[in-house]
Amino acid sequence: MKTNRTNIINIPLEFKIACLVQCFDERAVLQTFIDHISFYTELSKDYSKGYREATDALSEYILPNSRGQPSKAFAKSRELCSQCILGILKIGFQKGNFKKKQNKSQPLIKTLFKAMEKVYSTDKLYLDEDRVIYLNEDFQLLCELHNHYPSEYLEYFMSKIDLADHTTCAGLNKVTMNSSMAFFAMLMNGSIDANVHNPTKPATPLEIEFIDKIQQFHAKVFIIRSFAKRKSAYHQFFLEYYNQTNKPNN
Amino acid sequence: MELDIKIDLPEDFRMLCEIFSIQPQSIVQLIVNQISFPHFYTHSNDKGKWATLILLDYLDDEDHLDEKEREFTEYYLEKFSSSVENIKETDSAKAEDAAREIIREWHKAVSKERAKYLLDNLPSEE
Repeated sequence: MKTNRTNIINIPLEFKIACLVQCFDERAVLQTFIDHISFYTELSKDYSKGYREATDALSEYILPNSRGQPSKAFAKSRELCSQCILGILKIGFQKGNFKKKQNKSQPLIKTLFKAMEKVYSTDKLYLDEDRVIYLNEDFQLLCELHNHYPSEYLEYFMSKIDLADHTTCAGLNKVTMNSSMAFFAMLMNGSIDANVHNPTKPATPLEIEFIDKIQQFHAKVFIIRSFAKRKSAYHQFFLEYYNQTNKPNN
Repeated sequence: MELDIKIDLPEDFRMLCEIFSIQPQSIVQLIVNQISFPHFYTHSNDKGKWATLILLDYLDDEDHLDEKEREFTEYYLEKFSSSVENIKETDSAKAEDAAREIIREWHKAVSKERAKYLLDNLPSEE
């Protein structure tokens, strides 16, 4: 495998832990996230479940990491690029539901996609030899417009997934702004229609024990009121399960 | 301390009591005997943990915490959790006693606070 920046993805431990605890397939989570990136959503204020959270997650990365440089991919077609974006912005201000306006913006997105010269983006990424994820046009456009590699976006998304933090926030009624985690939480509670679960197979004794233990653990941490302490307790608890699951004899 | 209580006996519970010839009050007493923060948090592998878990599960619903006393509750919970942190199985009895002392202190303080609240809100005599 080539070792250039575009096709290496580092999957952080916390993301692996979160997927393990939720019985999620890492590849499927990333693919679902990508499938919910919408260029129209990026340019409009419309809300659509899952699309808004996923796209906002990218914006949270794009804004502070903006290099202030014009898109290299559109160096030769700046005029066309501005016209298309203006067109999509106008659609955003029109009346109508999300689906309709998203569809209406499709031809403009297609035009943009055809006009761009790929500098950073690519059609697919390999997590390893067997696991491949496909990048849609919207996702690729957002890479090129802001001069970012797909792996940067995906690594940012994964870096924001922290189940210990999320569980502690929920337990102590703390509200935080984290669109990546908000998207992941939607997968957890099934409010996004996507199949991200690992193929069903009979639960192992370790999994059964874990479900039993976590129910007790949720109750037990009631006395820990400090955010940092409770988060660290959850982190330790999840990490132990992760290490047990990944022992060589399992 | 004794308390006369009146509770509903749901069909499932009542039938089981009758089948096994159990006095319902002895089961209630058994559960109540096992509810203890000091014991629960100092004996992690004890089988008598289920009753306390039921109480904890109830308390976990934030609506069951009094908003006015939140700061107070958090202070003593934090104090309690620090005292039972990192205890070793060998001195769990000692740790249990120390933890119980904190609950006593908490109980005393909260009673005092409530009495004060009531007195402060009495209509003043003209």
